[in-house]
Amino acid sequence: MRLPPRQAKARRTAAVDRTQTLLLAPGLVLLFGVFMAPLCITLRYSLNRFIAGGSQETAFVLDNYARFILDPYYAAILLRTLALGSGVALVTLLLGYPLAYAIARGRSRWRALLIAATLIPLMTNVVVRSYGWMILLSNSGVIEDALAELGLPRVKLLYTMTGVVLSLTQVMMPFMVLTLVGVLQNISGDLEDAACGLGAGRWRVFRDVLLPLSLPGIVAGSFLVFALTISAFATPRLVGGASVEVMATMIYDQVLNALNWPFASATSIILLVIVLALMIVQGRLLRTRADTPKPAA
Amino acid sequence: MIGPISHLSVLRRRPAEASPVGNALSGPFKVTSPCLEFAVCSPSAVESEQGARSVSDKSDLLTNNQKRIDLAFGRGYAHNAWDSGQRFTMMVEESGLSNSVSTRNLMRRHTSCNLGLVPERFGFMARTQNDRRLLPGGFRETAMAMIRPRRWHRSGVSDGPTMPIDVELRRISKRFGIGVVAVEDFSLRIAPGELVSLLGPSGCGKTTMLRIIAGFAMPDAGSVMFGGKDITDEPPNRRDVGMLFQSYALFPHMTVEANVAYGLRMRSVSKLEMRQRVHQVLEQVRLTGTGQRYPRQLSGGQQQRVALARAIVIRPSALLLDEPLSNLDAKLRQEMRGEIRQIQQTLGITTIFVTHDQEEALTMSDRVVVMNRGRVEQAGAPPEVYRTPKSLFVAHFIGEANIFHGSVLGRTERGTQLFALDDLRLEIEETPAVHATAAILIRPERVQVFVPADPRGQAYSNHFPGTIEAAFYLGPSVGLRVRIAANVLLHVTLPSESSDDTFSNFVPREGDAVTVAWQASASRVIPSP
Repeated sequence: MRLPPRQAKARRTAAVDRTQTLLLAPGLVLLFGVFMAPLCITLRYSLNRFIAGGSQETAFVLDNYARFILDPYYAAILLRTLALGSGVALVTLLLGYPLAYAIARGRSRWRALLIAATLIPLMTNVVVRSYGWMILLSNSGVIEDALAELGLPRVKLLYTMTGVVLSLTQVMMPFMVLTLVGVLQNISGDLEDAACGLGAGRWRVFRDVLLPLSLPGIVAGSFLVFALTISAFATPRLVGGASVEVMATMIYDQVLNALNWPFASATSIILLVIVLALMIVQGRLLRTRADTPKPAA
Repeated sequence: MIGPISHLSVLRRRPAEASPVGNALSGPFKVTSPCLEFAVCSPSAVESEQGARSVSDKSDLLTNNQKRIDLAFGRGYAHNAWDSGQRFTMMVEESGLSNSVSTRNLMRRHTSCNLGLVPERFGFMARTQNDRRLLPGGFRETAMAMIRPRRWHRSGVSDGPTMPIDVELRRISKRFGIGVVAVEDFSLRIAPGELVSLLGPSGCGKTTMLRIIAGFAMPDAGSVMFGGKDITDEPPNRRDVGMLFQSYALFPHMTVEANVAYGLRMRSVSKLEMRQRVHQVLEQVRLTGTGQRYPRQLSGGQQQRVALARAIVIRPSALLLDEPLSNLDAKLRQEMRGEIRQIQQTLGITTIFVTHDQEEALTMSDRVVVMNRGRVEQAGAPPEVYRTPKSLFVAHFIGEANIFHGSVLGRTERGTQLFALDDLRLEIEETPAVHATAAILIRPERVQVFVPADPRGQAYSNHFPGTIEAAFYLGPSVGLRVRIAANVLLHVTLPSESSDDTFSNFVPREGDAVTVAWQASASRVIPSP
């Protein structure tokens, strides 16, 4: 039997709605069951009271947060983590920008090579890479020996902040570069030529055209690298050892060694809040930029 | 006394020479690009509000032994200069300033002005120019002027009054990769103030040529000369060219005003002058009032005018236009053609225009350079290129063409020659060697069409019966395809409304029998390569 057109349409729409819901379902289940629920549990744990020996007592207290905030030891860890994030973001930005520019503007053959060089590290497990860095940075490792050969003083790199920044820079570089490439590719080379033709030298072209137009990429890349760095665990643990304790390694120690789950939960929540706050700030920054005129088609 | 000077500039003074300008000038002079920026001592201008503002704007640059000199700012042509140790004076034809400048007062009151110490890394440039065509309004008064120490910009681009210069391209070649020829042995001289278009199909090397002139691409061989000076190795930011890009390339993050002012900022023009010039140029391109908007808030045509304003506000030695009209709709394109041409004529800028649109090239240019595969096929005034194409390529590329290959048989008693085209015998006027194979060109609009019975057709030296195979209405004209022999299809263009009655009351229809006719003089023999 044929339905009048309107009913047929309604039926089709309903079918589409049903299909959409079904398609969304696995993702939603995963999001809520595997991510949101544990997060809620973590939040709940963070309000519990820790009992020495590894168990916890159900409570609604802010002791764990207070402990983190009031003890200068943890404040130092927080600051170190933030400094690490900023440092890695800055170094990847400074090193990644020229690379991203070369990829975005380069001729096809070089381009493919550079992109491959950028992406290949992503395909290696971060633990493997960190062990690699340990070998490179270790006492009488490749780097130290090379420095010694050149007659330079030996620098201790393994288990130092410098070493962690160095290896994390390598780990984070692809994220920065790929973000920047996306933005730089959308800036027409004509704009640079135009500025140059009007009398601007290389530096002015960069300052007046490239920099302001690639700012969204710089912001996005830096925030991404920052967020990934402050939550990085494997590299700080392996390369930094016990002497470069950051938030992630501290949480790990609290969970597995001190068995202080409530405190570990509180610390995790604090880290999460920082990252969320940054995401909001970044969103704001990019939105205000989006309000200013976009490049004409 | 130094003078009459031809080119003069104090470039950069070494610390050891940190002395008053007068002494610095006694050193060797170096010929540089045309530029003159000077301050006119003008009491009357200072009394006016504008003058006062310009003085306060620049007073930090110019002091005379801590005593302020009354100055207004302008530009013009210096034609005499002398140096008396402490003083440097030049005679200048004033051109840019308002009429309130009283030159006689200037001479009386300020002949003894000194310039203060010129700070390190500052310099000034001057140049005489006998060409007076560009002075607006026939303003011819002679003013006593003093040279203002002009901030020497890092990039060293000059910012002078528009003085047309010639652009010469000498045997330029450029290849991309292995064996891909973009430009091959390209030579061309563009006269000062001339508008030359480079016309050709895509991939003929015209845009590459333009990029070489602008400095964005380096030629493999050959040289680019601006005003007799070899600038092949100069980077684009020192070439002093204004370029209009096909994509307009407006800075999306800057307002219209900031876009236009960008080149002036790079030249360290004073804020006041920048404002005036930006305002003036926006007026010139009819964009007054859009200064605070962003490029994306403008229509395509407006964006293009901003790009044009940005290119001309710096008063470049040469203006380069890269297919500037291709992104506009047909109506706007027509309008902009006239506008660009008019502005170019007013400013007298040497201009190179790249296009693939033959109509654009013909309507706008003083000279058309037809390019094919990186080479110049033909260069000449638009009528010359259209009427007497030197090669088949040019004949085909410009306008519609009937081109027939055949052989020349010999003379007729009327002083024309006979041309064999299959079984047809055509009378042609030009005289290549007898029996030579040749190609002839007949433009469609030179052919007349008559109804078969019309006796007037017989008066033409060539007249053939034919059949209309296709007819299409084009508005002002009607296009016909008339078959006059098995292998010969003639393209004909007729005015759709004719004032004479050649084709009156006859609406050409497919299948109609007609007589096509043309004079021997309507055909051109195209030299074979």
